Amino acid sequence: MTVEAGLGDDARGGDGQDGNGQERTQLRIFDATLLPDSPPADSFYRHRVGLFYALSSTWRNREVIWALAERDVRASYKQAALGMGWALLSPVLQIGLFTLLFDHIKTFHVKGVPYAIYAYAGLMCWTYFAGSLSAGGNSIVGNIALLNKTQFPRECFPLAQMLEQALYTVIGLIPLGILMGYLGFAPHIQILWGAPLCIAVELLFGIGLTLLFAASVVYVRDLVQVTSIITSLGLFATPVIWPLNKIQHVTFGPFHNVDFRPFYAFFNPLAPVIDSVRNTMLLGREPDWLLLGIGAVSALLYFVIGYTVFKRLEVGFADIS
Amino acid sequence: MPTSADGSIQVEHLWKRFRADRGRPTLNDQLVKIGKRVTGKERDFRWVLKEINMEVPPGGTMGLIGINGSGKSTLLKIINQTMYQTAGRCQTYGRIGALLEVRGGIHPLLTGRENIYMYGTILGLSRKQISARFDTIVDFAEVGDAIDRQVKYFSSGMQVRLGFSIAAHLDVDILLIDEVLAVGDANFQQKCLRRISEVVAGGTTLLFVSHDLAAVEATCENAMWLTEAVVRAAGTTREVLAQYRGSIEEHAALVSSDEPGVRVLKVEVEGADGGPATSAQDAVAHLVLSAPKAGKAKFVIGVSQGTAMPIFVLRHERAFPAGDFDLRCALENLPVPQGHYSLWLAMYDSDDQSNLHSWRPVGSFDVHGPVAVRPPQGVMVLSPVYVNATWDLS
Repeated sequence: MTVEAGLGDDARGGDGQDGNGQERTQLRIFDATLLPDSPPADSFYRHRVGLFYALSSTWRNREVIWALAERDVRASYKQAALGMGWALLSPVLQIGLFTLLFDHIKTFHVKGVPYAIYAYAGLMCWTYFAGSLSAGGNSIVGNIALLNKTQFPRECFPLAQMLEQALYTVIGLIPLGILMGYLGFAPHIQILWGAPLCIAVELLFGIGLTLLFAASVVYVRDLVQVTSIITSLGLFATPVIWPLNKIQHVTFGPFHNVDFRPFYAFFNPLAPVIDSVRNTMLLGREPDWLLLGIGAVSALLYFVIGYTVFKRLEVGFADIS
Repeated sequence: MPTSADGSIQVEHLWKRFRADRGRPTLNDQLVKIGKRVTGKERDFRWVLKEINMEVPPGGTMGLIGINGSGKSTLLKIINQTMYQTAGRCQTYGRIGALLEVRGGIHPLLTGRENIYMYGTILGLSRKQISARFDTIVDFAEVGDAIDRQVKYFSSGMQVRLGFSIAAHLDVDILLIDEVLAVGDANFQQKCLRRISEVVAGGTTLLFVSHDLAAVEATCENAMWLTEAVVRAAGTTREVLAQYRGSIEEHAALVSSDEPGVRVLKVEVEGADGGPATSAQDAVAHLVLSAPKAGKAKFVIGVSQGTAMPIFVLRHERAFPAGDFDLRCALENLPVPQGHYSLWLAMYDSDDQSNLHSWRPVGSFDVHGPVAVRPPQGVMVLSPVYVNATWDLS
């Protein structure tokens, strides 16, 4: 029996012997009073996870993301009498209201496209983003029990919420199809290549901001309120009910006839995304490449910053919650 | 540095601290805190683990013991990679499976079947693997036909069993267990222990946190004893447990010694041959008592599990001297299964029936031996037991 301080090489010496396992496990008693107050400064743990490593391990855990999403969908489906019906009802009601309110405002109109369809296309893009942000933003604080037991990458929680929202958005396409059939409006073929581009930009932006909020909410719970402000005001600040070219010629204060769209596209990549969806699907045109490009660069920035911040902050998730 | 095969755990110079104050996170507090951090004066944390060194070889078994709040669960969480250390190194090689408060992963709104698939996937199994072992999981959980019922209609015991059963059927190289056996009935506990031994026999590394010392002794080769964030002792389970028990008895003696009347100086229960107490073998309860004056008293000794009523009680009347004396009570065929028990003592004055020592637990001991068998329905577990005893006082 030996008495040892916790520190020092002796403390591990007995264990490190490559004996046959019989002799090395003699009892070791430690004296806590010999320990320093804090660990040596150079031994502090620095949590650094590279973006590409994080992405690849998330990809390896895609089944987990799927299971988390499926679990939530099944559970909420069981609880609600209307089940999936809610995914249909909510956009229909909103579009009904928007059409009622804004259909007669002629400056919101685009030639050849019924306003209801025009607004619906914008609303789909917006609802997906807003749903992701509010559900994904709460996903870390809401899953503490699981977080403490499982090792898969923490971003799986918000990403699972985004997957769930994607399902609801796809379901929301059904009323859009019905609406198009009813109004006799056929979507243009350009959407086939326009949609993947737009979805990619929207996903980058959505993931970036959702991860940023999901991680920050753990530390500052007040941010939950911020997400609800973003989702309620953003509906009107984003060109959902109005066309993006409304801010093409802005005269305000010192500005005279300034094109605000590039600045706005950088700040809010959803604006060029919605604009491009409308250009390709509803008008059969090419997207405004400059604006979409600015949006794509900005979305990539949001993504990298959001993801990096998330990986930095994840170190304290289990401590704080 | 030894080369590490799958399943080893290496913890080196590991430290962990928590923020001590978790008050309202108001803006004002946050600003003050940020100010302190900037000026390098942040002191509002406390260390919950200090300088932990541990190495578990592939296939090794390690028990973590210590009183509540000593840092066992935090260490487990760090090894499980759900929490990160503040300083030091923690390396694990291979897939980790954790059995920690197993009910949390089960969704009450889903059926048992859905839960097995969802939770199994979340814990890292593929659907194919789950399908292959689905029946085994259901059998083990003993939920039977209820498997297609929503889990919220399960009894709490069934929920726990289901969660444990899923987690116990993963293919892992390292298994972490934290006090999950405290739930469930005795029968299920034994089944879990058997399952754990099976997994360990298959070459899985085991890290076991428990207050059930007999279970630790039964499953772990090595043990580590944590007190207040630091390692107090490490070594083979037998040696570490001996240290741990010694400290607890010291503590118990200190507590009971500040009452007037007869004092208990030492409590020991061991086998008649001097080894550990074993079921259905003869055992000796040995107490060292100290009386302020000589007299004659009725001695009552009882054995209980936990804080429950004693399983059996023994009585004896005899004269005792002033000062320290030994009381030995030889118990024939110790009629209790493997487990952790408390020894109770009371002393009543034979003349005026006054309390010389009030009826309370004075010490605890472990019994080795066969596991408890489940009694048939309608049979009380804590039925009165008659035990033949021989008393001796010196």
